[in-house]
Amino acid sequence: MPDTAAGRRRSLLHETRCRTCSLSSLCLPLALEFEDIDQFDAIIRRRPPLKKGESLFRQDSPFTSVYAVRSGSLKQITSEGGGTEQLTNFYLPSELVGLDGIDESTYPGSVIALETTTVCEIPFDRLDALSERLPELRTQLYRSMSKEMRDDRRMMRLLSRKTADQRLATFFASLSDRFRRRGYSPYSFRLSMSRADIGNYLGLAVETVSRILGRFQQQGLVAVSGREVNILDLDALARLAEEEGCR
Amino acid sequence: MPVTGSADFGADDYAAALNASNAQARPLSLHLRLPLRHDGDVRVDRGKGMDPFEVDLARLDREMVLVRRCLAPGRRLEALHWSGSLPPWLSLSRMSELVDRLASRFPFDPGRQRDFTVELDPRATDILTLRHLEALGFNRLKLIVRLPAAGHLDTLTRLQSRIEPLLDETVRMGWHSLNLVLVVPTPTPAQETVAPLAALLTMTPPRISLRTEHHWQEGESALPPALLARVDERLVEAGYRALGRGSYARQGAALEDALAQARRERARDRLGLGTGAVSRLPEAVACNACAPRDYAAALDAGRLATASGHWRHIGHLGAGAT
Repeated sequence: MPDTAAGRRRSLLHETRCRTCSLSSLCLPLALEFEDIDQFDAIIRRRPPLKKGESLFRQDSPFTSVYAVRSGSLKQITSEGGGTEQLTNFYLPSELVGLDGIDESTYPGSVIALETTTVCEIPFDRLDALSERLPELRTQLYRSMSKEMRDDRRMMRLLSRKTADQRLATFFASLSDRFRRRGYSPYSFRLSMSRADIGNYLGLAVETVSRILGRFQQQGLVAVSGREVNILDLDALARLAEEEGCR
Repeated sequence: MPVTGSADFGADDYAAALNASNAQARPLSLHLRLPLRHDGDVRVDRGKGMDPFEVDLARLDREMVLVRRCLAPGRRLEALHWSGSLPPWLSLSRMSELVDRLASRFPFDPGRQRDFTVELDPRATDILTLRHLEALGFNRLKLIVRLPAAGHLDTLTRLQSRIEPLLDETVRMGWHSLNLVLVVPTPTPAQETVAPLAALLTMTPPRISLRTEHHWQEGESALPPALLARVDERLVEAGYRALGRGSYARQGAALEDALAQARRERARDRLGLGTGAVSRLPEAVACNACAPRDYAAALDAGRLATASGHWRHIGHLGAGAT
């Protein structure tokens, strides 16, 4: 391999394997036997990192692959007639992007990197064929889809019944849980998304998000400095997230 | 009912009545009447390089300080009423600022008996504004709707499409009440009012009030008796019960809530802030200057903007009594 920057980058991309990936215990290879992991690894396309603001794919483009987030984070934006854009999901490391495109063979929303992000591309036809031979892989795929459905139901409940305070509490409690599952601190993390993004996702104005963040700080629930979040009372935040309707 | 008391009743009398109210120390109900100025005055301040909102907030704050000075420190605010429809320049962050200023002068009662009402024009309100107001503590909504003439189906349909999502949101979020305040142009034939009313009733709002164009900010309806009788009949038939002249609540939980709120409000001292705002205390009723210029001049001179009022008990000697 030539000793150039591009060559070194290609080399690094190829060096990242499922066997050595720290997220393999959370990702699709989770249930695979050691020797089967290599078969899975062989269908994966490593892609160069996405820069902040770069699209992984655009809304309505043909569905070809699902993507596992290896590092960084992304947001999904769905545009409807009239030009309004709704932020419909955030994706963190080990989460699968694009599963919602299987049904209609197009991606229902654009997915954009919130920071420098690396993903593993898994061509769906090859994943489908491999999962015929590896039932554990198929089971894990079903689990991922089921989790996505469960998360969507939770989001529907949040958007239909919860007050602004409860929405933001749910958001922080959920982020904390997602970081904990990935082996990171559930109490201290950095938000890659802007307050406007959080507001759009939760159905709140950015002013409302700022207002409630200020209140959470006064109540000693969180400490926020720029995009750095410290959760000071996770139990209280979780209790607030579980409430429904006006106080 | 409009306050038509003596113009001899002034700022000192109001201050004396506020001081006297500390004897019973009832919970406070603050009625803030917005906007504090006519639209044209905004241009005057802007022309002088001043932010009209900051000017208004400073005046309002001065009024709060003058009122607060007369009240015992422990007295808390149980009810808040923003009336007169929010001016379009009152952005969400400015609403927050206004609530913070109110809370710093009149500590809010943290109990569950809180009745925080906001009046909004559904044509200028969206769901995000409603959610922001909920985050500020509001739990009751009044939608001020100018009733279109019976023939204007398009206007009525447009209105319904604005009201319905707001109504749904208040139900979903558990707001305690929604009152559809229908402003009726007068004179209007009864049928011209009853037909669009029937269309709006399909949304089954928890409360409905009917007001005339010139008296829509007042508590009681000034509808002509014949029209009121037709409206009464139509609303009773639709399952509503009259709470007072031109005010109705749907039978069941909405009615119980309305009656309980009215009982709580009677047990509070009402403080009016803003132009034309009315204060009701055990000893006196006072009304602020209605003209923005008079209101501003009084506060800029460092005194309460009381323009009229009356003592409630015969024989009361007023502020000058020794």
